[in-house]
Amino acid sequence: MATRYTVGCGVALWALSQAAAAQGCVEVAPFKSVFLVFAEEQAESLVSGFGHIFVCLPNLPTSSVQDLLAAPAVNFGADTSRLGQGMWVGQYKLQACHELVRKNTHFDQRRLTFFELPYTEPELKHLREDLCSRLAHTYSYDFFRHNCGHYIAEWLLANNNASSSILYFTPREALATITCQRPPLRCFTIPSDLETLEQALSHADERTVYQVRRGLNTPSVLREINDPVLQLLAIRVAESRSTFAEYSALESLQADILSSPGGPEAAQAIIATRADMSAADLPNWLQEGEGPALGVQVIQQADAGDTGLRLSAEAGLRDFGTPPRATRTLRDIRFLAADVEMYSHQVHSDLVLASVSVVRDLRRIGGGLSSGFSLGRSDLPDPLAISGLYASTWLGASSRFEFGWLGIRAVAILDDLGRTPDLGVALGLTFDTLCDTGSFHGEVTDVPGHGLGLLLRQRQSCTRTSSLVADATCDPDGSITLGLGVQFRF
Amino acid sequence: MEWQVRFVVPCLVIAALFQTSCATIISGTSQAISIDSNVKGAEVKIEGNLVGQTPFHGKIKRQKEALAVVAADGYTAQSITLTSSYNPVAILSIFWDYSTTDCITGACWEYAPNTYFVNLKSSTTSEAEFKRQSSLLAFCMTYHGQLTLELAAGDGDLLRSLHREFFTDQSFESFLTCAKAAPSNDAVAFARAIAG
Repeated sequence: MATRYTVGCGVALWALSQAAAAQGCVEVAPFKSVFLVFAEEQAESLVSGFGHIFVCLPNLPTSSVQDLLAAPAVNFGADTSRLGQGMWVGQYKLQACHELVRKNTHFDQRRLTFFELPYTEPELKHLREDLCSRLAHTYSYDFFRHNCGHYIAEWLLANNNASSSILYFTPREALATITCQRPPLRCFTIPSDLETLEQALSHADERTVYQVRRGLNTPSVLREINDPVLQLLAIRVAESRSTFAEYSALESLQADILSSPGGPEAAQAIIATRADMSAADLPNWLQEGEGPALGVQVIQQADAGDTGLRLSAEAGLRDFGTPPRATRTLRDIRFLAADVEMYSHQVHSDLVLASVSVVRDLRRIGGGLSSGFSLGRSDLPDPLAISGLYASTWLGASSRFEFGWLGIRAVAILDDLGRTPDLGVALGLTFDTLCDTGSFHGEVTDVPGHGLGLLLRQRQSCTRTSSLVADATCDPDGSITLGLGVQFRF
Repeated sequence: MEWQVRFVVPCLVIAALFQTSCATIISGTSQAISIDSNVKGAEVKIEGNLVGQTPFHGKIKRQKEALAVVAADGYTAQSITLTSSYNPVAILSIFWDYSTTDCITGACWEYAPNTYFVNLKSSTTSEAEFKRQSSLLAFCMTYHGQLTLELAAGDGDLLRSLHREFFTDQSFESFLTCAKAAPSNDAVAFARAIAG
């Protein structure tokens, strides 16, 4: 089936050779803009399970999908028949954008999202020259790290080394890295044929849905469906799975339907549906996607000389496969993180269940609300012989700036250990940075009558999956706790 | 642990075999293919053996790859590397990106499952014109189904793209009128009529 994906080398090569000769870089024609294209993961296919990225390079001012289809595209692919220093040899290749679009939306049934990246004229010139030199070389290719994501990011970010020290680098992570450094000007999507069919089926009755699903496996059944829109859409999907004999029959069936009285109206309805689905806002999943994490820290309570371990589990945000929507609704509120932490000290033990639910608008510039609670139990041995519960809950608002998030929160505290009022209200200021290589969280809480509490937490990414975590906490009663450990994110 | 290995490994292998991208070519020892060209009656050789003329419909033995050559007097011979996507290496390596090593000249393409079209270059055709013609034919054949849908609707992204790239000397409306007259149930005939 690899050959199936090898449709004719398209408009791009012709266009490239026409315009490039006079520019000194004979392979690549000057381009006016850069569109990074992300093909979403497709769970049904192992090879499509991690997404794919490529770049379209239109040489005209571009306003829509139709302008892009005939544009040249840069794809990084592996040559399975050749071995290099790594596992295989990979190469930047020039192809027609429509060729890659058809492969992804039709054969693979994957949604494509186009992101226009901001580049100045001199930068575009540099990108082109750089691409020319890259086209002449082969590169070491391996699935987990040196893949399309790595090489496209390397080219677009002018040799940045964002992925040099990490264990794996998926195309989605490459997309996040690129769009973080080059915030997209706009984006739009091309839905897959299957997605368009599913959209139409959502209004169909059960029997029709059954007929369509059966028809996808047995194309002759598609003739029995009464709805020409569903018939035509099912044909588009069935074609990608067919043998040649079935393909010919499907083409004939489509011609018959289109020439029937309701055919043109059905075709118009399909074109309109696809156009509606192609309108897109910047996808939520571009921002702050994080997987679940497990961590372990050694902690030292400075004043009491008490050392211990802290184990933590965190469920983070990861919006795999969530299609971006053009309009945001309440359903877009995200559950960002939940922590469960267990402290085991030499002197005393704590169990803290901290469920942190953070609602954030994931747009690049915006604000959000946060809320959450923590609940713990502490047992202090003799001579204090105290044990008791402590809990807090908060509601806050934060605003996102270029450098990070700044927030304010009101905290209600319940503590029967005597460290704070039995029931008190505190005011906290929070600060979070945005950085690919790590994050910083700072929190100051004023507990009336007891002073200020301070929490500083720095995470430094070592690899894409592991981070060093350093904590410093100063409670209102003056006790200082330091922690150092690692966190593994999945 | 042993039962897990016994159970999981066969399941993984079976799952890999039934990936959608491989499903049509892994049964049987031979595979039906079709090869057509812009020159009717061109010779078709597979692995050096003359097997017929275009339009060629036949079966070839399954193997990792096969070299097909299409040739006609007065035209430059064109070769196609027919590669199979199913092979143990591909399963073990789990590729994100498919290898596209065949048809790199842009003069041949697979427009339907296991169905190839070869555009032979005559000695009188300039390189630029040949590439343009190949691009136009490839676009029309590979997008035949969607283009006919858009023609019936009277508009669409692909039609606009086709017009903008190849038919800027005429208005979209007149291009549309000509395109609607093309036969719609055969990809090759459709593309030839559009290329005109």
